[in-house]
Formats: sequence, structure tokens, C-alpha cells
Amino acid sequence: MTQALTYDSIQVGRTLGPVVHELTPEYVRDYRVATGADAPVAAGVGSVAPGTMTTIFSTALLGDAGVNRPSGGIHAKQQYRYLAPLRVGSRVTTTGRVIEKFIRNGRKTVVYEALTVDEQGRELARCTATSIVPL
Amino acid sequence: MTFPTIRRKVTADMVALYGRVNNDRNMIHYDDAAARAAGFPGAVAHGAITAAVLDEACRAHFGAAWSEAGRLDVKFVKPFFVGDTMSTHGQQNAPAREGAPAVWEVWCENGAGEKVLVGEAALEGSA
Repeated sequence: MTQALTYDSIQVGRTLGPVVHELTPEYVRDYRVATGADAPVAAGVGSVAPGTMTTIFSTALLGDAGVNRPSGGIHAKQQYRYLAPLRVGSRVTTTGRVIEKFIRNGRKTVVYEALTVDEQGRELARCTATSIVPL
Repeated sequence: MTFPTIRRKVTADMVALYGRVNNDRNMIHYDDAAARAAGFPGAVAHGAITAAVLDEACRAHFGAAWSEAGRLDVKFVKPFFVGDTMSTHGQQNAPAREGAPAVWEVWCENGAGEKVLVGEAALEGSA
């Protein structure tokens, strides 16, 4: 996908993804350091990763920031439903769907839901994100 | 039972690393001049960092079950700026009905005591 995702191009019902993330120990450690988690930040394979990493997975559904996600979007709301632990060392896949779009106070807003599953298809988290898109 | 208060300074290094992890190249997060050009007084931290710290407090509060039955709904209500210190807060609301899960009103404040994130947290399936 190389085309910029704009408000006009995002239609309700549009499916998003899949995007795949490898929860390597290094990736989870970096996330913990970036969010300032208290030591120890080491993440051994099989340990539980922070559930809010799903923010990254759902945001990725809107496209790669450097390629097709316009800079300047605002994250307005996020809902997390954790269903099973995110495990360090696993590969997770996230898919989504646009469920609403509207303009309020001049702000172009898109609401979309995301489901993250592991390699066995087990549901790990359901998220709903509300984002204000810049274009 | 009190909700854990986590106080955390969000540094430029944290925000830069979060940007790399999230592949976010919006310069309002990393450059004061870019942030001022966008109407902010300084670089804006990713709101998701405040949500992550709040989630950390929820995990401490609700225990291991949080990662398989936690529900956290948040709304970012005010920009949080790089270099500021945030804190997590929560208070229990009365259950909506008998047997309903205990719902906690949760929020994050900036160093001036202003709410930057508001929301609620609960352990689904618990009472």
C-alpha cells in the first residue's frame, strides 16, 4: 500500500490490515523503556508483554507513518479489551475495520476496531481507536 | 483499596524511542520548533505513553488477570508535553448494578495537576 490514507478514502466498513508484529524480546524491551517502565525491563520469551502494545498494532492499520500515513494525526480515544496475554516471542496479527467516520468541529474523525490474534488464531485483544486524521 | 499512583517523567529519549517503536515520524513529538509551528508550546509526548503508564498501574492494581480480562477505555483530553512528569490516579465507582464488575474511574495528570487522559478500567467478569 503506497497511497495516502485520507478521510475521503476511508469508507465505513473498509477492512484494514492485516499487519504482523514479532514480539521479540528486544522489541518489548524497547517498548518498556520508551514508556518508562521500572526495571527490570528485560523481556524473556514467554513472559507477558504490556497490553497497550496493541496501540501500536492498531495504529499500524492506518498505514506506515513514513509511507502512507499522513503526519499530524491525533489519537483521541482508545479502548482496550484484553482476552489473553501477549507473549514475548510470539508473532501477532492484527486486522481491523472502519466502523464510523464523522466531522465534528472541523475535525475529520475515523473510528475503527482492531483484533489481534496469535499464531494459533487465539484472540488476544480487541481495541477500538478514535483518530483525527489530518487530510 | 487504593489505586496505584505512578509518577513518571517523560523524557525526550523516551519519546524518541517510542517514535521508533511506533514508526511515528510526526515532528511535533521530537522538535520544539515543529511543535510551536503547530500551535503547541513545546514538543508533545505521544498520548499512548500516558496510556501505557496507566495500564501499568492497572496491572499492578488488578493483578495477573488484567492481561486476560482487563478493560481500559481512555480519552486523551489535553496534550502532555515532553519533560513533564505525569501521575496515575483512580477511584472506584459504585457498580452499575448488583453483581456488575467494579468499575474504576482512572486518569492521568500532568505536573500541574491537570488531567491529560481520562477513562475507566474494569476487570470483566469480576464482581
